Amino acid sequence: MPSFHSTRRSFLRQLGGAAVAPAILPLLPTAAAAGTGFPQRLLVVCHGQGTLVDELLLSDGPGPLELGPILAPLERHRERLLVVQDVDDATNSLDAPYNAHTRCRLHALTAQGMQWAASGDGVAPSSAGGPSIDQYVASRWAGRTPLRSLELGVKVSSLTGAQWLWRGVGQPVTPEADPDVALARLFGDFMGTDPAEVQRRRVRRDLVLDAVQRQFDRVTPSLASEDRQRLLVHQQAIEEVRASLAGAALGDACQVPDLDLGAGSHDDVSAAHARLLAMAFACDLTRVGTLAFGDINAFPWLDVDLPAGWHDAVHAGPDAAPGARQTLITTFAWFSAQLARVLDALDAVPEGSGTLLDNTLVLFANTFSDGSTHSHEGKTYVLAGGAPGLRMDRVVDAVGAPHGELLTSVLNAIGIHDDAFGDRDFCDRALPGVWS
Amino acid sequence: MSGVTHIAHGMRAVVALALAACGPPGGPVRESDTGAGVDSCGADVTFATPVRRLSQDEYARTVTSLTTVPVAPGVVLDDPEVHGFADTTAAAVGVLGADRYLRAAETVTASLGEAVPVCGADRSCLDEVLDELGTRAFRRPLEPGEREILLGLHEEVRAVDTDVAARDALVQALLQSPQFLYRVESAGSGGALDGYGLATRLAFFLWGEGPDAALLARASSGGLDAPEGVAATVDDMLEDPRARNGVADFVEQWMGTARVESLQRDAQRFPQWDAALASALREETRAFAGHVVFDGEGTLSALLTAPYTVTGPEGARIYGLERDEVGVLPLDPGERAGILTQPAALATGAHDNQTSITLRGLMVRERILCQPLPLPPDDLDITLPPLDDELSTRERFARHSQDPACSGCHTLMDPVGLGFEHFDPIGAWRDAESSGVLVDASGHLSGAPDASLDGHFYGVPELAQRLAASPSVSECFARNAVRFAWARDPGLHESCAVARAATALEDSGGDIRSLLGSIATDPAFTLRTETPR
Repeated sequence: MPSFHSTRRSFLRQLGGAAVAPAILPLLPTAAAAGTGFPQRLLVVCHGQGTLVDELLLSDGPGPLELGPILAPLERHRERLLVVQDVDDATNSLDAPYNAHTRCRLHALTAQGMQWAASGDGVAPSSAGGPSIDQYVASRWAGRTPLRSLELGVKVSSLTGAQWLWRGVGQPVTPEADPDVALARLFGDFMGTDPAEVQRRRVRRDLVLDAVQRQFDRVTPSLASEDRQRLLVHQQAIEEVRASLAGAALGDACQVPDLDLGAGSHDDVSAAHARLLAMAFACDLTRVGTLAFGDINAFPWLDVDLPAGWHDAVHAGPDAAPGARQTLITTFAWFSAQLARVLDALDAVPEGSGTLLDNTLVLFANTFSDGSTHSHEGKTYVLAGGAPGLRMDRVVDAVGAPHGELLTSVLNAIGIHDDAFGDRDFCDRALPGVWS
Repeated sequence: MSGVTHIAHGMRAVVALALAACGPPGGPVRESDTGAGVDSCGADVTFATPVRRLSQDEYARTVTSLTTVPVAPGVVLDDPEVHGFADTTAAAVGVLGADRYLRAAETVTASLGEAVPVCGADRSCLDEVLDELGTRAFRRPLEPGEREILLGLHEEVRAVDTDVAARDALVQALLQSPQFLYRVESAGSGGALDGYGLATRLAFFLWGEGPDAALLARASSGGLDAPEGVAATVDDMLEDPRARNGVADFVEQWMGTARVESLQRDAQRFPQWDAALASALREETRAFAGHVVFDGEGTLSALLTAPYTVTGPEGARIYGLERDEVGVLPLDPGERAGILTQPAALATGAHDNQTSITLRGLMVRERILCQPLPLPPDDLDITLPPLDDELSTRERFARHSQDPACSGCHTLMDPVGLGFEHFDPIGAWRDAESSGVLVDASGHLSGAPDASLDGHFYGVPELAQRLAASPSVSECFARNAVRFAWARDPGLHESCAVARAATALEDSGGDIRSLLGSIATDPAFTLRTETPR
């Protein structure tokens, strides 16, 4: 198939846009975290329904870090936390008053206004306005690892789960919800006992996907432009699936993780996902990961009473009934515990004189500030892990700065020196005060 | 995604429209009244039809029909929805989607058995596979270039692997090809679809899966080239058992009842609620719709008022009965009436621990009357009042009618939903609320599209009788059927096609098969507009 590679290049050219351009650039030298010789990674952990802002920290305002009850599960990682208070996901003002759940998910990681499309006699939201930060970083680092990025989800559907993550306009990224499927995707080719069979399977898949791509090449060029664009995205996705089939080299820190799914509760799935993400980084299968939590409405593994479901309890707020505050603290703290689990898993992988956690910056994001208000103002973000130049174990007051600034700081910290992220009308700099 | 606009003016337009819909004194706006020139139904302007990907259900049924291998819909990703109807044109397939298609195809070929012959070096055998399986997968004969790719693949795999592996690879490639996964239409003469394209549209609309060999043969012999042939084909297709899938898909997407499978219920109050019950309720509504249309009266009126359901051992628990088999179950006409009292619809209109007069009222407003309402404003406290030992639902939600910030919209929903109060959050009959207060199912409808609907009623059966007699309900149902058939929203410019469907329904005395037949033979369905490249 001599025409194959030129065809691939031509469709990448047709796709256009900054989000895919790096895929056709020559591979860049590996960006190593300063001084360690190991690559820098980015991990985003996000959940919905907000929190109780006044239960996050014990002390109000900037200063040394004293974790309140909701962040308490992170105490063992306190020295590697940076809490950023009073951030405003300001681009939400472009699309208010549209449904806050959907809207805040579309804004939180993209920092851009939503896209709207004609729907019958009116308009409806059709897409986020641009790439989410994880996908943007993945596009900047594309080609360095077999997988461009890895998205895992707990109780996500393609309707709600995909609203967090966008590769670009019209390209939602759906997280994988099943740890076993993710395991097969990441390590499937290593788990067979017969290397010859593994090799045959690889060749067969490659040939099948070649044939599929050639069928696409026959169909795609004659389509109307919007249809063509969608099919080109599908083609690009097939190429990424193909690239990921090559897999990683096992050895040293890189081992097929042992997933104990227990009863398969959301808690069990979350624990398995944390191990998968850490191993995907340890094996250098990818350097960008996301763990997204979807519409969880019950916590049967926690000791809480939620007769009307969690969503309604969050709406009602901490003062609705006796015990309501403690119930909310317990449930919100569970998400902090999931972050702690991820940090544990990263910290368990040795890298040089430190661990994988030293070379991973983790962004902990939420839809709202206080859950009961559904507000995008006064949000608290947590940065965890390591990146050169970030001074941890403290609180920074962003004084209402737009969240694009915080996301710009995240980019800068991991070695992407853009001067802004998202809508430039809302953000033209990095957030001051996060550097040492 | 035609007509993508960036926020501002589009947003304001939709908000203004929605608010106008709630405020007095004009009452809500019908979807058909929201633009200028609607009443002057002149020449058709049909939007170009975007290339659609097979929905989850369509994929599963079509693959099973091609290979005889059972496939669960969940093996490929969920479909986004527009107005409750599956929309496969909204989002591109990403890495996870492509990965799922790859694995689904490999899973299917692992169970292929002898369903597709293993040809090895036998070229005439391979040609036969491509003529039969290939044609059905691509829903038209393969072009020479397409054949070459598949033959080449078969050869290449055989060179390094077994004959079975080569056969499997060929089937995997067919199932991941865009000609299979997407409905790419090519024009025939004069803007019409060619016969294969029309056979494909008809099959997905009426059967919920791709065309079979007989339908493709009919297309190939010119049987779909003239309107008479199309009409005869549509009649035949509606006689086919697969048409039950099409009707069930339509009715459950219209009413949003598939969602019942993902609902959670308060385990203390509703210990009988589990996944098996939820999926039995979904199936009940599908079977009920099929029975009304194909075995029963066949009319919209029956769909709205029939005092029976179709259920089996699992679902009968909701009615407090034990049954051994699946079949028609007569119900008390003083309690139950048609689709609105299907447990799947009632449970979808409820919260974990309590009924929702708002969601149930909204169901009538949006799905039965085609009167969309806006979402509550951002700054409004929309916390549900807690259950109370002494207060009735009516009393707990009194604020909705007293607070002006709420009442504009809620007076259009809650008084209608109160008429459903005899049904608990899982759709079972109740004489008293959980508080012990006896149910008062007095309801009130106002601001309806035709005045004959307005007024007081007691319980769903009385409401359903009134709805069944309303021309606006009939028109709304026709609009929803068009939405389903086209798999997208009809725009203002396409109001003539909607009007023709509504007329067909009315002229046939509300016969649903006549409505589907009319939509399937309408020029808006059989013609295709070229879009600029």
